[in-house]
Amino acid sequence: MFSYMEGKRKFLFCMDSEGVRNLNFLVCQALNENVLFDFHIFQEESEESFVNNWFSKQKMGAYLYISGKEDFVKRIKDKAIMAGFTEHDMQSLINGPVNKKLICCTCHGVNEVSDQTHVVCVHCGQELEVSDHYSRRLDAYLGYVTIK
Amino acid sequence: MHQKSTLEVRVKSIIKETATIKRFTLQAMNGSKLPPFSGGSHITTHLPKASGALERSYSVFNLSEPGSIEIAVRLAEPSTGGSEYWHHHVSEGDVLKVSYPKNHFPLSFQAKHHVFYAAGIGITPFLSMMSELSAKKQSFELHYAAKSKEQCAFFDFLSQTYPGQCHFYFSEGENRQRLSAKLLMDHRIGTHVYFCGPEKMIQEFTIAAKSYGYPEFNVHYERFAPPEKKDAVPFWITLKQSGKQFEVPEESSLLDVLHQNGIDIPFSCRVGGCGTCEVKVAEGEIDHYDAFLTDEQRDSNRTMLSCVSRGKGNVLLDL
Repeated sequence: MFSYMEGKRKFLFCMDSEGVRNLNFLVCQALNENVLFDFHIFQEESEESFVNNWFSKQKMGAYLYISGKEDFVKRIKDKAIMAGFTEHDMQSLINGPVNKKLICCTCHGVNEVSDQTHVVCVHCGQELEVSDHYSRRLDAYLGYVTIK
Repeated sequence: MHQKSTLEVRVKSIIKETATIKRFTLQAMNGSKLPPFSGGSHITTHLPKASGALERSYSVFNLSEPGSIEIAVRLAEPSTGGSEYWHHHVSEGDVLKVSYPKNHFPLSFQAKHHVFYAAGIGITPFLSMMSELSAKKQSFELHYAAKSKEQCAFFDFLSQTYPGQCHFYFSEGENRQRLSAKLLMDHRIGTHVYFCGPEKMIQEFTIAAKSYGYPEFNVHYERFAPPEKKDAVPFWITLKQSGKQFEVPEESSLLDVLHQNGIDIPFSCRVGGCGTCEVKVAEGEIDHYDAFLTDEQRDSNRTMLSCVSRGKGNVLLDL
């Protein structure tokens, strides 16, 4: 769930049609507290230049919420990071299935997982436990050896 | 870290930058090079006074020959001993002991743009930072306040070396202009800000940045003196493992008291900036004066920096 960030100058609410409902309570709170905000529902990838322009104009103290399907959230997040946002300036929430990369601790091969907790590495056959150990560099989670 | 080894250096030259600021160029004794340092680094100088060695830290930079280290010292009124010694008892050719360069004020590697706010002698850490960023072709700007152009150290150097990136604010004479924390409102997302100057300025800018919504992550500042504790009162500590109890008097730090009693806590900056002397707290309430811990860590009452922070009443330390 999203949490409301106190003391920000401005909020940017950024969502696809799926993500709208996650942001309602934040928008209400921003209205109540009279905090400036921008609100955009995105439909198409063709709005790319608008997103770039929107992000690049933001000043320090702006805070971004991204809500929607996985591909949308990833795409917007990448653009936000390019513009200068970091994890200290944003929160995101994915609606629907999440596919993540899992790195095998034995062979370093990449596996695709969704909501499983245990998988067998498609490269070396090692049984892996899906950890929450995330690498920002690899955009992947670490798969540990399953201890039986 | 708890670095005890020192370097011997010779004072190669002394340049009077302003009426109150002198620049000292230090070189290695045997003609070799002094260790390199990153932007924002400092050295601790050990000044041989009759009353015992006086330790003072200064930001290092290098505007002249490679392999040397330079510092700039403002004669403080009143001086606590360090600046008086540098200004009145150090001559060219003198040999002194200094620490290896250490950096408790590093540049952010994630910043898209760096903005430096300096007042007076607070310019010194930014000299090495700007040099590093300039070499890496990264984006930065400087806002620098002084009383007048004459009292603004490195004015000519900065204006010539970084044209268009330096903004000066002189509080005396014609065209007076004050450096205002409102400038913080205008920095684009991804900016990191750095403050160095008098305690009041650091506080004003830090509070303003927070009020504009800056994450703590993007705000950096450096103190060379511990923050003022207006109403420091004694407190008591108990060590969890041995059950020993000590009083920390008003005029001493917890770090001092631990050392006096043979408990060897590592330390480095002694102004609450580096986190080396952190001790775990088992029970008790803490008044934090550091610039290192996060708000969450401070609120937890589970940890404290023993060089500057103080307890209230009785504190049980996890030692």
